[in-house]
Amino acid sequence: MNTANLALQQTPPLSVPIRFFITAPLFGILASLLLIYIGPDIFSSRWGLNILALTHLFTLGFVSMIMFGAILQLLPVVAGTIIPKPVLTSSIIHILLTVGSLSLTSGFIFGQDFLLRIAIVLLGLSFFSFVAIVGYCLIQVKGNIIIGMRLALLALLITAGLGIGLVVRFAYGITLPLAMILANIHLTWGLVGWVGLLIIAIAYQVVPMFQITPQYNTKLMRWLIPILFLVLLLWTLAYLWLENNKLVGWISILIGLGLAVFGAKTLHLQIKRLRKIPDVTLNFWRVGAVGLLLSIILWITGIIWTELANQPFYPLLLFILFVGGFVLMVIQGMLYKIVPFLVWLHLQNQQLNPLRTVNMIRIPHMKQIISPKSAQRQFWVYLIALFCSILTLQFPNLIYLTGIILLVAFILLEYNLLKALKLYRSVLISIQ
Amino acid sequence: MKTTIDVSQLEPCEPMERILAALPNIQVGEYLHILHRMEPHPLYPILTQQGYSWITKTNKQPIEIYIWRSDDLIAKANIV
Repeated sequence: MNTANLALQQTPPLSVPIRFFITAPLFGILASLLLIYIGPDIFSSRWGLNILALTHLFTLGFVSMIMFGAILQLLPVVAGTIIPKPVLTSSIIHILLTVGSLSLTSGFIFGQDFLLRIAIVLLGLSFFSFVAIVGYCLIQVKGNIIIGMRLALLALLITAGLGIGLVVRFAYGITLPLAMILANIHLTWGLVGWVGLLIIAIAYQVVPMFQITPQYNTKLMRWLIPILFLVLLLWTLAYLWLENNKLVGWISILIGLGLAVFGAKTLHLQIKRLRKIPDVTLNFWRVGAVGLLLSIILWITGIIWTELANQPFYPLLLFILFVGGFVLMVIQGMLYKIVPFLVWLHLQNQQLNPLRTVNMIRIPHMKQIISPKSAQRQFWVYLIALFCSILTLQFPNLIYLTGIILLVAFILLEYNLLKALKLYRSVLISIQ
Repeated sequence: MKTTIDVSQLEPCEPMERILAALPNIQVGEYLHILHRMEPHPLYPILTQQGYSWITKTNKQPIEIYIWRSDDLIAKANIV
């Protein structure tokens, strides 16, 4: 029995998570424009500076931005705690992350060392203060989601530490030993550790809640994330010592299999939904899980059949499937539930506050806040952009079309989110 | 006397809407018995603000939440 009277929950103001959610699609728009600007040259080098800018616009500006907002919002729900001075703290972290991401990516594009130096300071402050504050809030609580969030934060620390080290190399011209190996470790910890583990932890909460599925298996929730984290550590050590030894490949297959368990289980839960009503979020998560499984199949095939991994299209296709097909898909699906729910919840709270409420009105339903039709339209545009980006690997000139469709997808996403915020403000004015 | 509401198969925000709609109907000595898939954390501050107390039993599925008026000791005593 849980006497919840003792732990009075606090919901952070809407502005705390929403500032991150509203900013993220703007980085998606910038990434699309950069894609159009680079054009078919994207295939020239995996580590070209424009490619680095493009990947960081997606991973920092879009993915990490939304993840920061989602964690700040989930803290009161899963941990019963809230960050100190939520509006001030989130504003500072948000500004640091936004300006830091812009400095880093523009530093890469224009080859300006001073922009990279600014990025080192701003992103360093943003990541380390975020990890310290959220980590402190998570210290005294227990639970599978909490363990997942803690390990994802540790992975973020490792990713950020390595990332900053690698940028120091560019910004100050310092030679770094094992630079390419460290870059691969940075990339793996960022995508699998920080983003992958966090998506799994958040899925434990949001998939059963919003998609009316049964809960994830208790043993899976207890062990999957810690095992994946340990295997990632093992892989890192093996890779540092043995480089491209077969053993390193086998360990990375284990990472792929761990992620595959999550993808397959999520699809399985969706098949066993308790209420089978059409839902656009479900489409995002279904395609996301399939994207994850396809990226793992490609990853494992590349390890076993090394000729495939040496093809120029291989790392790009892997990135498109994992980031575009899995990460961006599920994150957008998550936004279409979390944002309407938060808007509804905050309006409901305002309505019930006798000190602030003047007029009692009917609060719009979640489906009225962002209509399923608008979300569905954006889903299809994004899906077409995803297919086009895969076709681009065979027909490089399609990259311009891909960039334009992706641009439309992110503009639509931003429009849908801003429309929800506009509705929030207008209903709030009616209440007060 | 209790009123049971099963919201365990409803999607957000329907569970909270139903619970909030049922609150004003709780009479002296009565309590609400909610069947839910997960703990409704966002509901708790609203309950406190509106003058209700609650107990949540999370040891089995669906989880159970008992809600009564904070000043109603009879209702509290009636909860098993």
